[in-house]
Order: sequence, then structure tokens, then C-alpha cells
Amino acid sequence: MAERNEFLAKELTELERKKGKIAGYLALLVILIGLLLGFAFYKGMTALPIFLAIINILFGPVTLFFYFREVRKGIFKADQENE
Amino acid sequence: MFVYVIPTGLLRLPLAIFLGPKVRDRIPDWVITMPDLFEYLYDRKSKLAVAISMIPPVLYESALLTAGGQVIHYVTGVNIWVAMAVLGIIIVLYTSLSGMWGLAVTDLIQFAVMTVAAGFLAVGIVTAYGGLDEIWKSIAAVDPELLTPMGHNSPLEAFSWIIAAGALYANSQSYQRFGASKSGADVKVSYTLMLLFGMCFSAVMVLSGMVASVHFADAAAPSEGFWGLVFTVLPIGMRGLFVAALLAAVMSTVSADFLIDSTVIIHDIFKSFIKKNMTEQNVLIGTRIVIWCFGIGIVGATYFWQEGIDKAYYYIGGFQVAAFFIPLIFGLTYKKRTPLAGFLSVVLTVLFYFVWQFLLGAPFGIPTNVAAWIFSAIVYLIVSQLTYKPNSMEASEGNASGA
Repeated sequence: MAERNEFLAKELTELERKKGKIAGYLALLVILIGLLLGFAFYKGMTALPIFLAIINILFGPVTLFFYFREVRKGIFKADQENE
Repeated sequence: MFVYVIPTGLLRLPLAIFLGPKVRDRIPDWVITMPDLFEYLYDRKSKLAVAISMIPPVLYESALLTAGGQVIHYVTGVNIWVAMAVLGIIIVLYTSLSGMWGLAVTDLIQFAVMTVAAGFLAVGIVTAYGGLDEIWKSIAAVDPELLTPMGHNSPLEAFSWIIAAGALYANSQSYQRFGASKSGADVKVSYTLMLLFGMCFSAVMVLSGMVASVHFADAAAPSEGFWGLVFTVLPIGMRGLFVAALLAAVMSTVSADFLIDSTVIIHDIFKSFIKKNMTEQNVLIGTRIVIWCFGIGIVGATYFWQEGIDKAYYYIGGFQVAAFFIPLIFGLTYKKRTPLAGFLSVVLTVLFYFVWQFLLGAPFGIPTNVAAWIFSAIVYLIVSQLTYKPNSMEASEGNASGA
């Protein structure tokens, strides 16, 4: 049991580390997109509204899809059991 | 774009990467609300000061309700008071019955509606007015300053907008979500994603506003110009989607703030200071009663925003950010923080905000949030230097239990 708990703890730490790395890349992307948006707005680049339209149209439904996937995996189950 | 949207995205990165995860991982589970956080960082006096300061901004919800009611009125012709009352009742019903879980679900659905609507609006603008170079030419012909990085803002006004990025650092909804996250790593990923998307969504709103200000310059109010644009560029089905998107944004924000403010009254004030042995069942009933009282109250308070809501956040919500930001950031990062510094910084800055904004009328052209932050930082640092004793904060954290 102790070995299993140790194994699970290691897995969890590895997962946390991976998420931290992903967050780092996303932070770089935030900076990059911020600078690109500023440049595109200043220059009046034709592609900007299309880029914004694609991002906006996709982002919400994609987020909703992943959210429902987490719900099916049981993300609320722990809370409901505690209740 | 340059004084708010982009700086906001970039300046909030430390919250996403450092502070939010720190709050989630290192702060005890009994810290649920913003006042709880101040009790953890300082003492119960600070908790009470923050809890009381969080109540007046509920008036901002009436401004949002006004916006939602106006949209329903424009679209359907229904009497605006009836529209606001119906919208308010719907929000109160699902918030009081389903709590945080309901908020999480409805927020997601509302988010999806908002983003798709914004995307189609961007397409509609380009279809109706040509590519961005054509749009920029039409704006340059009418108001060329709109195309400059500063727009019509003075340097101080621009600075004021830039530091408004700090609003999320002192926003109780942020800490509500940190506490609800599985881990600090989840906070990092979700918040940076939110910042990324937020910039893209806000960029569409900025573009829409610029186009509306030029092509609907004769509108009686900016909001009418904006809706004129929406109804011009979007086909009928998409117009309904956009109306739903705005109502979704209103409902999402109002419901979250209702839940937070009712929790402040019942959990942070009533249970913490008046009736300490309140059962969880009674806390739940009390929270629901307060949500209903807020709902009725803000419908009446919409009277104050009949002339427009553009200054609502600045007047009502602004002081909360101005008063909480410095003690919150210093509390999480400054080793020499002291309870008295936290308490006096909050109380005196709230008073300073009202004096600077409403009695002095923001003199010398210095925006109130800028002046308030400077004042708050000075008070905090002076008091902490005068009252700091080594090891005193570590000892008091060990005793803090949220009782």
C-alpha cells in the first residue's frame, strides 16, 4: 500500500511538472500573440479579423468539448461523494 | 488595444504563473474567500475590513443588469424595467439553487456562446466594410487619432488603463477559481489559456467599437451605436446569437458576484463574527436568502445607470481594486508584512478613494486608481516598517485557523 501510494505520488508530481511546462509554453504564446496583435492592429493587416474570427469561433466549443470530457471522467464525482 | 487589451494580457501573466498557483498550493483549505485570505495573511480585523468593503461593489451588478435590460428592450421592445426584472430573477434563481456547480456549468455554456458570436461579428464586419485596410481608411477619414496607440488618452489616462490590469489580482472571482482548482499546475495552464483567449476576444470588441464609433457616430449613445453595428453586419440568426452572447456575459458575471458577495455576508461576516456555531445547512439557507435580497436590490439600483454604464466599473468596482491590490500583493510576497499594515492600507485607501474621486474630482488629472495605489503603497510600507517584528507573522499564521 505504501509502495502504491509512493508510486501514485511520483506520477502526480510528473503530471504537475508536465502541466507546468505546458503553462510555460502558453505564457510564451501569450507574449507572442500580444505582440503580433499589436503589430497587426497598428499596420491594419488584412489577415487580423480572419485570425480573430477563427480563434473565437473555435475556442469556445473546443473548451466546452474538453469540459464535458472532464465531467465524463468524473471531475465532479469527488465533490458529490463528499456531499 | 494598446493601453488595455495587450497590457492586460501581459501584466496578468505573473498572476497566472506565480501568484495563482501559490495561492492554490500553499494556502490552507479553510481559506475560501478573499476575506479569508486577508485573515490568513494578516488578522481578523483585516478580514472584517475587506468583507465590508466588498459589499458596495454589488451595485456594479445593477449596471450590468442595466446593460442586459437595454439589449432586451432594443431587440424586443419589452419595457426596460420588466426586462431587467426578468433577467435579474433568472440569475437569482439558478445562482441560489445551484451554487458554484451551476456557475461552472452555465459559465462554460455562456463562454461558448460569447466566443462564437464574437467570431461571427469579426467576419460580419469584414464582409460589410471590406478588409482591415478599408476599415482603417474609413476610420482615418473621421477620427485618425483612434488609430494611434494612445487613442484619445492622455499619458496618465493611458497609464491608468494599463494598471487596470491589476483588477484581476484583487478580484475575488480569481481567488474563488484558484481555490476550486485541482492544483497549482492546473491554475497555471487554465489561466494562461484564459489570458491568451481573452486578448483575442477583447480585440474583436475593440475592432467593433472602433467601427461603430465611425459608422454609427450619430447614435444617441455608444451602446446604441454598437448594437446598430451588430444588427447591420450580422444576419438575423447570428443577431440572436450575439444578443444571447451579451446576456450570457452579463449573467455569468452577475451570478458569480452574487455568490461571492452572499458568501462574504454569511460566511465572512455573519458566521465569522456574529454566530460562530452556524451549521452548514444554515449557511446555505442564509446564502440563498442574501442572493435573493441582492437580486431585488440591484433591480432597484438600475435606476442609477439610466444615463449609461460606461463609468460604472470605475466608480463602483474601482475602489475595491485600488484598496485591495497593494495589501494583497505585499501580503503574498513581502516578508515584512504586518497585520496593522494590511488593515490600515485597506481602510485608509477606501477613504482616500472616495475623497480623491468624489470630493476632489481626481485633481491634477491624476486618475483615482493611480493615486490610490500610490497612497496605499506608502501607507503599507511606512506602517509595516514601524510595526514589523521578526518571526511575528510566522507565529500568527500558525495560529490562524479561520475560526
